[in-house]
Amino acid sequence: MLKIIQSLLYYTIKMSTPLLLCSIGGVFVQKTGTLNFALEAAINTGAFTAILFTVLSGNLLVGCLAAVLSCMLLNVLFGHFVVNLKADAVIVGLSLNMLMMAIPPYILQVFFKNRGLLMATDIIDVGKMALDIPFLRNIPFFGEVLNGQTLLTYLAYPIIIVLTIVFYKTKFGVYVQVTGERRDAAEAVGIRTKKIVWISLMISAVTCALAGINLSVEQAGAYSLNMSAARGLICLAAINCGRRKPVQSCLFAIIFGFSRALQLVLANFMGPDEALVMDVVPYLTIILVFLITEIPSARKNVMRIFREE
Amino acid sequence: MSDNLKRRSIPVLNAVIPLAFAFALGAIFTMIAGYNPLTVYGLILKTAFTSGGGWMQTLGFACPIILTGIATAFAFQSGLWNIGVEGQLYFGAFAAALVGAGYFGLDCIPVGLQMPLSVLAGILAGMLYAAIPALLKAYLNANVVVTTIMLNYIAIELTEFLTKAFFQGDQSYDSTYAIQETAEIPKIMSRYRVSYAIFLAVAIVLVVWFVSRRTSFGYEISAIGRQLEFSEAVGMRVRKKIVLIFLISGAIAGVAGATEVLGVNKNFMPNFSTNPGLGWQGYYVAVLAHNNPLAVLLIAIIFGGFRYGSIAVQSKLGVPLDLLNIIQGALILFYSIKYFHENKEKIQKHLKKANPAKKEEQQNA
Repeated sequence: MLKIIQSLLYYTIKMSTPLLLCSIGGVFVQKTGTLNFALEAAINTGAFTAILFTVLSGNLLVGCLAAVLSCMLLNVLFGHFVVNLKADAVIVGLSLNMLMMAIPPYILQVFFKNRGLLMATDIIDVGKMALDIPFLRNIPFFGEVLNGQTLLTYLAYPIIIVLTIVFYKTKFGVYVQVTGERRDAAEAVGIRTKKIVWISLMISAVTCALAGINLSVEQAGAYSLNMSAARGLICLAAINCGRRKPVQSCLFAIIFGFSRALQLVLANFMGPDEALVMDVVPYLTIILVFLITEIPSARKNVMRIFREE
Repeated sequence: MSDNLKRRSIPVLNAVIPLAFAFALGAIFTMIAGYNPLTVYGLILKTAFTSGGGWMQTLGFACPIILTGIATAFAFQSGLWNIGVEGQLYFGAFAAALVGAGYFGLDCIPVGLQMPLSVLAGILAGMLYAAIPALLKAYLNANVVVTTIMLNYIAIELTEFLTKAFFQGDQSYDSTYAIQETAEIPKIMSRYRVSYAIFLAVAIVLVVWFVSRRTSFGYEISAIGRQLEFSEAVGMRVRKKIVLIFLISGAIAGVAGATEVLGVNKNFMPNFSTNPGLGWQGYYVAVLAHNNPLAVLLIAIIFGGFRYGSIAVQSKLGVPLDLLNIIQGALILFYSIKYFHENKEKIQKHLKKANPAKKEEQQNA
């Protein structure tokens, strides 16, 4: 029993990492009032380019750098269409998701003759990705949980703290909040809202790239088709549930990470066919959590259904 | 160019430019792979649109896209972002396959009714599945995009689980038992993909077109889409309408799934609609068609042709089918911006009058 709880907690932390990284960056963009469905595409891009360029160059660092740059490029594209050309953010986001679902298999099929998988395990040793930290190992009970996570998992939490401070305590963070609350008012007092959105997009690009790297490089050592598996959308749900506040959004990201851990651990106790039903758990959790967080605001709505918040 | 001609050419240009951009991007990807884009595009068009057989196949591939497209467009008209057509299609297909294969005693009813009953099962399943996001939206104002996308994933996983765990047929791959011959939708010609379901699809398009253009319900749909507060204030029962619109959309999605199973696949396979999925193609079509039912019909047929042509190109030249998905994704992306505004010149004239100092700036912009 103890073992089960330990592995549940271990996987919760592990599975939450990409969600946390993606959510904390996404909060900034979301807070500026830009609905960014391209989070999904960004994670996918990060995961794909990290492995692709690692394989091409034989160097992990080049791969990671390429992942960050390509995510930035993707968000520049998104920003150009949405901010500069004023296109519909939902359509742009979803079409970018589609594009990033189609481009990796195309490239893999053409150059590697396998549209579903690109292995980099001869360059990346996945076993070594799990760090062994003596200080953490010696903690009773929690040693098993906290030790043996990957580098980005440990880095995710400082990143969250730093970005939360940026969000609440710096001028830029306040501008982000103001831009989201009242864009015209922000512009009236001279805040360059476009610039704020652009910077937010770049922050989100970096964290999404890290989320992608965590998925492909650290957890698998390979890229497989549709690796992001709706994580970007899950993060969007987390941000929505967390009312676009960094800490709350991260808490919801952890809840969703927990549901995935629950799926993994419970599936261990079932036959291969029955375990399939557990795949539904994460998605079901999201809908349920979504509802629970919506109920209070729905009740508050005096004008019935059409008030947004 | 006369003024009138100019104004008329603007919508055409707005449609043609994204098409050119998308195919240019596709050409870049074809050249990366080492193929001549003109050969590839030529072969796609030639196989899909130049022969009678090609047209039959094209219509066969277009049929489910027409239905998912119209299902999506119908919900989009009222501002309800029903991205969940994919999930509704899965459940529609699953239910139709089970009923059609006789899991629930299909033999008890007359032969002539077996096929309609199977389609009906698909419709009901699609409706029921669409009811979930509908109720959540109507009574809790839950974001439709998020709930429907999550429900898509649930539908795909759940039908796969049900197929493998309870309804595995006699095939070596994962699938239900084949449907009975009496439940099949007959093909127009046995060699080609298209079945008589295409007539049903066209009929549904016409009905939706009629309803949304000529009835008060259609007016209410577009009113809700344009101005929800207003619609509520003047006494349209918005909640009920939201549920109703979703149910209709889900029903049409269910038809798409049912006809695909009963007319083409003959059994339900998990992941029968992938890369990117019939529901998603419907979404593309609906966006490109501006939710206009007749435009949905036209664009879905073109998309069906592209799909058939690309499959032929994949087997003949070895260019991956993903090329088509790249082109389609890019098409939507480039389509999301207006390149020319119909009233741009008027606005500029007005602005120049109001503020001559900014004249140069306007011209540069």
